[in-house]
Amino acid sequence: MMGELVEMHREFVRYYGPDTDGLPKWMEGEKLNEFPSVLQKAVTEDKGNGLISLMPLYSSLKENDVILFSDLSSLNDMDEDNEKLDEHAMDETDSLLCRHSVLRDDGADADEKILFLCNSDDVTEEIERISFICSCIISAIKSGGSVLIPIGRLGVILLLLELISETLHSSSIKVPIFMISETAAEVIAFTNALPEWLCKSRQEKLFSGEALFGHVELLKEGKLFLFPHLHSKGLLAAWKEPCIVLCPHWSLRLGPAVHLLRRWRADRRCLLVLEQGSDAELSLKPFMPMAIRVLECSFLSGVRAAKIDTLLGVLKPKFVMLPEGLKSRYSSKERPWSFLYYSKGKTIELPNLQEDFEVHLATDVALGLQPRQLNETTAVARLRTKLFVSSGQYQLAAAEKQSDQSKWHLLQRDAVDPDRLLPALQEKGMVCSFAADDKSAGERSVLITSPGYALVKITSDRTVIYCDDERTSKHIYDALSSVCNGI
Amino acid sequence: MAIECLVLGAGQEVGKSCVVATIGGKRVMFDCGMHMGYHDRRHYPDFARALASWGAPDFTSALSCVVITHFHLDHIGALPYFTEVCGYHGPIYMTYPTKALAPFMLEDYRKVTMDQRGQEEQYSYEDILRCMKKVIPLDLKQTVQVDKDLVIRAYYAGHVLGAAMIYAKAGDAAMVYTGDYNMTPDRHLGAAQIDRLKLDLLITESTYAKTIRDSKHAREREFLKAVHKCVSGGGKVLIPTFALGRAQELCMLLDDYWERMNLTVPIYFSAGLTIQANMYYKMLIGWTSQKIKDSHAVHNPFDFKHVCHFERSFINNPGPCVLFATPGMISGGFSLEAFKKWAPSEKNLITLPGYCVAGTVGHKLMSGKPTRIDLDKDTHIDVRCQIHQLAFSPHTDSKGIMDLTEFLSPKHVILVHGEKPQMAFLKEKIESELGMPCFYPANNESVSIPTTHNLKMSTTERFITSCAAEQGKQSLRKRNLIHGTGTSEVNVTDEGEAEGVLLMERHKAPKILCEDELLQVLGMERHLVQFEAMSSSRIEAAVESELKRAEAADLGSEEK
Repeated sequence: MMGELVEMHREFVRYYGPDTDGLPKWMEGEKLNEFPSVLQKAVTEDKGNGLISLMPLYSSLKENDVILFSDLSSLNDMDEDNEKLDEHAMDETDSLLCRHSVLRDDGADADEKILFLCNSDDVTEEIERISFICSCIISAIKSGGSVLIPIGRLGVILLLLELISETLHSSSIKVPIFMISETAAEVIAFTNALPEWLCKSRQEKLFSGEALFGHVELLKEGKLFLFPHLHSKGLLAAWKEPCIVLCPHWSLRLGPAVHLLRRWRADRRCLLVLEQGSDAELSLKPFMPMAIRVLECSFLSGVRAAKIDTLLGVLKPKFVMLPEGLKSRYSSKERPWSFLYYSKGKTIELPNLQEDFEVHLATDVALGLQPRQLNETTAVARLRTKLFVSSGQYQLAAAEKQSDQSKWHLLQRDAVDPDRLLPALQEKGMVCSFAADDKSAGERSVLITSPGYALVKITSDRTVIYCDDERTSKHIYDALSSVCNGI
Repeated sequence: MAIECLVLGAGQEVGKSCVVATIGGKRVMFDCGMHMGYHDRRHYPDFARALASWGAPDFTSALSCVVITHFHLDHIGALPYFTEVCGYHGPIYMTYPTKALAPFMLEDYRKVTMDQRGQEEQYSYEDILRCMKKVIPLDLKQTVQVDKDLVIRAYYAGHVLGAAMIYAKAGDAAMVYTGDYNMTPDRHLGAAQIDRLKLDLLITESTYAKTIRDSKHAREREFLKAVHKCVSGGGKVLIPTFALGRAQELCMLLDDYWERMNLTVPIYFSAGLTIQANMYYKMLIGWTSQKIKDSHAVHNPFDFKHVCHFERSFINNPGPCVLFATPGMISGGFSLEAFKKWAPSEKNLITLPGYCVAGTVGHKLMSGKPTRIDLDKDTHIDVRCQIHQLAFSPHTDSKGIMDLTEFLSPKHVILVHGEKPQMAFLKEKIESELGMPCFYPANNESVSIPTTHNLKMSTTERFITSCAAEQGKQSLRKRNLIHGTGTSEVNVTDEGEAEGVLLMERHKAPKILCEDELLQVLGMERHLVQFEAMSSSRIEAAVESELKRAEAADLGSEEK
C-alpha cells in the first residue's frame, strides 16, 4: 500500500509537476496518520481465499473439458503473483477448504470454514483502496471543494456511496451527493432488489430485515439525489456546493462530467477521481490548464493469476485456453492439464476429446440380451436397438422387430468347422451326411434328409442354407451358430 | 428401483403438508407443516412413527435433506420443532423470500397461540432463529447438488412470494413436488412456470380438485364495489388478513382503485409486521410478476401511496377508513379488537378470507348470518355490520392441475393437500383423461412407484453414427412419402433400428461396438449365412446328384 502511495505521488508529480501546490494535502504527515488502517496494516499474503466464495458457482462446472480465460484483464497481476503460484498449490489449508466447498455447496454447518466474499483479502484490499479514495474526498470537501467522480464501475460506486456517507456522518459534514445519469434511478432501484446475486454478508441483511445497500437510507434522508440529466427539473433547487457528483463518462468527452469539470477545473480545492487505465493525460488535455486535484486509482477486476491454479485444481479441465501473450509466463509443466494459446483471428482446433460416448441402455433391453462366452475373459452379445436422444443423453430402447432373416451372418474367431456341424445337426434330431465335395473349391456340403430336405454349402467365409421350410432352416442356423466360436 | 413415497401430512386433508420421498435411495422431506385446526398430537406430522419405520437412529442420518416450498404455516410450521426438538441437523433448503419471510410467520403464530390458549410452548423464538440460520437459500432454477447423487431444483410456483415447486433427481429417478401453486398470474405474482421434465412421479396439491374458477376481474370488482359503497357511506372497512400475501394483493388493488377514483379515505396497516413485510416485498421484486418487475424502477407498486401512518387509538376516530389487521381469521390480536369496536355499526364492513378454521370468529361469521357473537361468558358482540366474503385464492383450480399434469406428463401422480371426495374425483379424471396411474394416500400411508432404470455404458462414435444414419435414412424415406415424390416404401415400420454388439470383458466396463469394430478388436471374421429357397425340382435334382456323389464317394472310400 505504501508503495502504491509513493507510486501515486510520483505519477502526480509527473503529470502536474512538483510546483503545482507542493505536496497534496493528503500526502502530509498528519493527514497520513488519519488513515492508519490503510497504511499500517501489512498487505497480508494472498492465499487465494477469495476464490472460496466462488466455489459453489464453480462446483457446478466441474469436469469441464476446456476453460477459456477470455478476459485479458483477469490476468492483470500476472507478474507479481507468478512467483506465488507454486507455493499456493501446496498450501494444504487451501485445498482443504476447496474440497470442502465442492462437496457441500454452501452447507449451513460449513459456515465457519467458508469465508464471505467480503472477508477475502482481495476485497479487503479493495475496500481499503476505496476508503482511501473516500478520505481524499472528505479532505477535499473539508477544504470547501467539490468532488467529481466519473467512474463507471457500479460496484465501486456502491461501495463509495456507503463509505462516503458513513465518513460524512461521522465527521458531521453535510454535503449533498448527486448521481446524474439516465440510468441512475433504475440502477439504484435494481441493486436493492436482487439479493440472490449479492455476497453472503449482504444476503444476511435481507434475512435480518435491513436494506441491502446503504443508499436506500441516503435517498430517504435526502442526502442522495438522483437525476437523469444536468438540466433535469429540480436539480438546480437541490444543487449546493460543495457537493459530490457521480456521473458519466469516464472518457471525459461526454455526459455531465464534461460540464462539471469545466466548472471546477480552476478550483484547486476540488477533486477529480479517475480510474487508471485510460490515458489520463489525453483525457484531461482539453481541460488544461487546470488546478483541480486529480486522483487516479485502479480497481480490482477479474480473477487474480494466483487463483487460477486453485480454480483449475477444482475444475480439473483437460485443456485450458489462454491468450497467446501469456505463453511464456504460464506453462503447463507438471500440471495435469494442457494449455492452448489463442490469438485474435486465428482458429484453434481442439483435439477431439470424446473417444467414447455414453449411452443409457434400458434395463429391459439389457435383460433380453443373449450373451455368449467366447473365452474365459470375454463374452459378447448381439444388440438390436433404437437410438433416442433425450436431454442430451443417448438412450437405447428395445427394437420393435427382429432383423430380416433372409441374410444373416456370424462373427467368428475360427472358420466354421463342417466336421463339428454334423454332430450338432444330429443332436437336433436331423438326419444328415456330408455330400461329396469338390474339395479344390474349398466347399463342403451337408445334406439333410429328415425332417425335411435341405442342403448346406459351407465355404470359409460363407454358408448357404438351401431349404424351403423356415423351421428347419432356423434349426440348421442354430446348429451352425452353436459350433462356431462367435456370435 | 422405485420411489417410495410416505405421506406424513396433508394426505386427504389440507394442513401440515409433509411428504417424505425415497428416491434413488435418498430420503427427501418435502415441507414440514403444522395443522392449524388441531391443538393436540395431530398438530404436527407423526415424525416419531416415520423414524421407527425407517429403522434409522436419528432424523439427520435418515434424511438427505428437507425442502420447504413456501412460508405458509401449513408448509413450514413444524420446521423449528423438527430441527430444534426432534434434532434434525441436516441441510434445509428454501427460496430466498421464504427464508426471509418465514421467521415472521413462525414468530407471529407462536405469539398468537401463546397469548391465546396458554398452550405448552413447542418451540421458542430462539429456536426459530437457530432453525432459520441453518437454512440454505435457493434461487429459482438453480441446480443444487445436495450430495453426490441427489440433485434438487426450484421452479416458480406463484401462490405466495417465494413459493417454489421442487424437482428432485437421484440416479435415473426424477420427481416434482409442487407445494401450492397458481397457474394464473395475479396482481403481484406470476403464474407457475416449469420445464418439461421427464418425471417418474408428480406430487401435486389438489385444494381445488373439482372447482373451475370464473374470471378474477368480476370478483375484484365485487370487492371494490363493496368497499367503495361502505366508505362513501361514511363506514369503516375492516380487512382481517395474514400479514403476507393477500394483504399486499388487496392493498395493491385498493391503492390502484383509490388512485383512479381519486379517493382520500385513509388506508391503514395495523401491524408493524405488515409494514416490514412490504419492505421485503420491495426487496424481492425478482419474485413478483413480470409486470411489476418491468416497472418497479419507475414506480415500486409496494410503495402504497394511500397507506397512512397508523396508531392503535385510530380505531376510535370518526369518519371512514380502511384497515388491514392481523390475524386473518379474527382469532385474536388486533383484528379482534377492531372487530369488537366496529361490528355493532351497520355502516361498517368486514371482509372475510376464503377459508377460516373452525372455532375462530371468522368461521362463525362465515357460517350463516349471526347477529350476536359470544366471545366468552361475559363478552358478547352484536354484529350488525355488513359482511363480504373474499373469493380470491392463490391456489390453482382443477383445470390448472390438469394442465400442469398434462404438461409434465409424469409416469405417476400422487395427490395431496385436498379433500378426499374431490381428490377421488380428480384421480378418476387424471387416470381416464391422461392415462396416468394416480394415488391419493391418507396420512401415514405410503405409495411405491416403480421407476425406469438405465444402465450406463460406453459406446463408440461409430455406433452412434451408424444408429443416426439409420434414423436419417428413415426420416428421408418418410419425407419422400409425405411429399409423394418417392416410390412407396414397404419398410416404414423399421424405425431406424441399428445393430451392434455388446462386448463384455473381465475387469473392463461393458462397451457397445459396431460389428466391424468388434472384428478388429477381437480378431474375428465375418461368416455370411444365406438362406435360399429351392424349388422342389431343384431339391430333387440336388439331392439326387448329391446322393450319386455320395455313393461314388462311398465306392471310392471302399476302394481305398
